[in-house]
Amino acid sequence: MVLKMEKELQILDEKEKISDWIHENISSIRKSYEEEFIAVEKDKNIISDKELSSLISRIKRSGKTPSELVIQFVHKKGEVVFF
Amino acid sequence: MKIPIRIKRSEDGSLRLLVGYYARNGSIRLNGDIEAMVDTGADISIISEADALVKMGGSFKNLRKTTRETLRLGGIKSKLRTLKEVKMKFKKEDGTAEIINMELFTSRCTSKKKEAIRSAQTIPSIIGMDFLYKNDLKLVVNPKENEAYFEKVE
Repeated sequence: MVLKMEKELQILDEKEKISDWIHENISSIRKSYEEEFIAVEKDKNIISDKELSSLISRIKRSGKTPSELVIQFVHKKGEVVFF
Repeated sequence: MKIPIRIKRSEDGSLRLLVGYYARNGSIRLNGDIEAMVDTGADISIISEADALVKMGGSFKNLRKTTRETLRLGGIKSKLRTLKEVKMKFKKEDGTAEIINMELFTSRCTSKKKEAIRSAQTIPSIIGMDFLYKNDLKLVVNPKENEAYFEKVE
């Protein structure tokens, strides 16, 4: 139980690091992946696709687990988004 | 008890509040980390369509309807479904875990149009006002000092 809890907190830390890396490097990421979904691995390798369902299929086909990657949409530069 | 929130500044200078948590609900095969945007304009907390597709093994069709059936977010109309009580695990300031059990929701775009579906899938997971209210938490944000956190109201 304690080990599972520690593992989950460790996953949160790892994902936070990847997410922060995306934020810090969004300008260069946008040059190649604007308006695409990206999945970023721990080693910062990026898989991308215009459709989320296709991206998930591609990740699975490559033998990886989608939930282990950080998946985000790369908005256009200057696009103001309200939720 | 404090749960730290990350303040992220985009290129245009706008700010976003982000918090990560680990979500579990065995009955719907929900198991995974969620990065949510804190949005005090939202009255409910949702796991986004994209996060549900990736982190939830169960089918959207099997989720229960709620009294609030429709979600309008970012100009997109979606069906709303309850995920029932989800175990949310946060990392506190001292590095230990804070477990919060509460009802979360998820959505699925009702449109068949590709562009609408794509737009719906760009909406992030959200922590709304219900999270603060139901769990006796306050939200403290000081962007100048890069400080933001949830704190238990004594």
